[in-house]
Amino acid sequence: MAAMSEEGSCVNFKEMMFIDNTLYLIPEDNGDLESDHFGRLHCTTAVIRSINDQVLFVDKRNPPVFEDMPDIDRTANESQTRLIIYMYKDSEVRGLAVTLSVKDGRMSTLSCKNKIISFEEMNPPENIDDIKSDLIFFQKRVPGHNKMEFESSLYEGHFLACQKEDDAFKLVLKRKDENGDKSVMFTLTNLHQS
Amino acid sequence: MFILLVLVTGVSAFTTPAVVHTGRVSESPVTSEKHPVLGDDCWFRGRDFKSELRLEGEPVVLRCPLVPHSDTSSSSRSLLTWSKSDSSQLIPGDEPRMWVKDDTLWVLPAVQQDSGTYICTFRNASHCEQMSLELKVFKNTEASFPLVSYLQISALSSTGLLVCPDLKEFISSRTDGKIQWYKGSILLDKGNKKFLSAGDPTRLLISNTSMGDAGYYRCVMTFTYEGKEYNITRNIELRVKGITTEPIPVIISPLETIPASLGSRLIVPCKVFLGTGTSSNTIVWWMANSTFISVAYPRGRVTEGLHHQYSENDENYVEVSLIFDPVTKEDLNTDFKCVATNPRSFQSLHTTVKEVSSTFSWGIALAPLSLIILVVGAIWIRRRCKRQAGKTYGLTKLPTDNQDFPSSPNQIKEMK
Repeated sequence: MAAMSEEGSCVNFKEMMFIDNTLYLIPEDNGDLESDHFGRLHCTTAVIRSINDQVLFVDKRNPPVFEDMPDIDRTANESQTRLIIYMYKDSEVRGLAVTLSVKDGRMSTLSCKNKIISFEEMNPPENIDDIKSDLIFFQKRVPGHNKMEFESSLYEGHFLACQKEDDAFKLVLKRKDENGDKSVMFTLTNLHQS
Repeated sequence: MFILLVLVTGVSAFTTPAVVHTGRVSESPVTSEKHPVLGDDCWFRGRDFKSELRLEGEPVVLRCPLVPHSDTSSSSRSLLTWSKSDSSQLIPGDEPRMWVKDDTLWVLPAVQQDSGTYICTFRNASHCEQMSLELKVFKNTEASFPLVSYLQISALSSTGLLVCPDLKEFISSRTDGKIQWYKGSILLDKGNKKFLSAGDPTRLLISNTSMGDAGYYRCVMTFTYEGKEYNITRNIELRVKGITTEPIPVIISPLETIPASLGSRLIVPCKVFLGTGTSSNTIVWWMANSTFISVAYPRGRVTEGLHHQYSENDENYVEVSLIFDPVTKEDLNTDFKCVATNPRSFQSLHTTVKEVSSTFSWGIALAPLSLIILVVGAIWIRRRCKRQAGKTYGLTKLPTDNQDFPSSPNQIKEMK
């Protein structure tokens, strides 16, 4: 009776299993259990260029920008210009779900939390247990172009874009207003091709 | 537990020196870069990743990354100085080809001896920072093209675009903006039907890009300073990218229903056709009732095989198998789905497992039943044979009874 009065101390289980001298209590599968919605598979690498062939450059000291960069200079700065794109399986099946990372000693992954673009120092997670994430973008081929666009899974209709602010061309998150907005189009060159 | 604590302590002990070492390494550049003239209180922020790769005889502008844009105009509250790493003297000093303007150092015209590391020092009331920039000045010859070229990419059979890069310092100086374009050494004049003006003189359109359009281009801007004209040249390597059309993935297998026996091991491959193009960013995975396999089956009774990409007769495929070990009754009521996704499209195909053990068990039942019937039949026939043998035995007894009768008359004779 004393034990019964303590609510929450009991675990509902549907099955008992005895394996290797150990008794396992298998908990009841209630709907509250979280399940993964994005699962990491494998990755490719690419250089991302804006419509004006500026190279996406990720320097931890500054926001990511698109730079006019001689190719020999880009090669010298490979750790800042080589994007590691991890592809994810998606329980909702909406397109190619990806994360974008750079590895300059440590891995940094692109986040659009609060619609602000930043590279957070973290590995792309193995699993994400939400149908939306600030790290996941849907990579889509632009119809009629040999270019890609990246839509945020967290902010629908918002895309990665190259936007001029002061004298810099910054990587931003932007709502794609009209059709044919070229600021959201990017050329991806796989490093074995370029 | 004690061992674990010892290990954790050990790991921590090893980690600490590494941190110290890292600190020392980061301090070294500060030591090597310090200059007596500038004092010792400046924080060295490191090298600007971007280098200036330029041609001799042309203007060069170095911009100090440390200066905030908002701070450019308020020179009264801050001080920006330049120096070269191989000299303790401030720039420009006596050099007439160099001067400072806002947050930039101008070198006009640049010579090869100007190559080196430049240090800008930004100082205001609260702090002092330093950063270094690399300048490399090359001979103005074709041999230098690979060293100074900007890579630009156009797609085959599309309208290509060439952009004259890195001109913002000069465009903002109110130049007349005269720019001439060359392919190799050939001037692309305005009458050219292949290369069209885009309105903006810093851009050039290439109509119907072909593989022959790939190669080195130059844009040359005329810049006038104090009545003297200078060329500002930017070299571009145009690469023409074949249209690598991302294929629409086509899921070829499995069938809508998969026959299986309960308790058996089953492998179901999902085979996806990717066309005949080059490598594709297509991923393939399985789901059970719209849940990932690893989540639906955490104990691994059902697993996904490896992502297998291969070619057959110049056609590309990806295959991922679903492995049951073993098949259970639960699987008969589960919706299994294979999904294939790439930037162009995504496809899915549903399948279900159907039990085949009923037909099989009926077949099994028939065999022993026949055997039983055969055995029972044999036993019955044998029993009939035994009955006939019994009758024979009975007949043998009857003569014995007949023999008893002669004995009786003998007894009667004795009575007489």
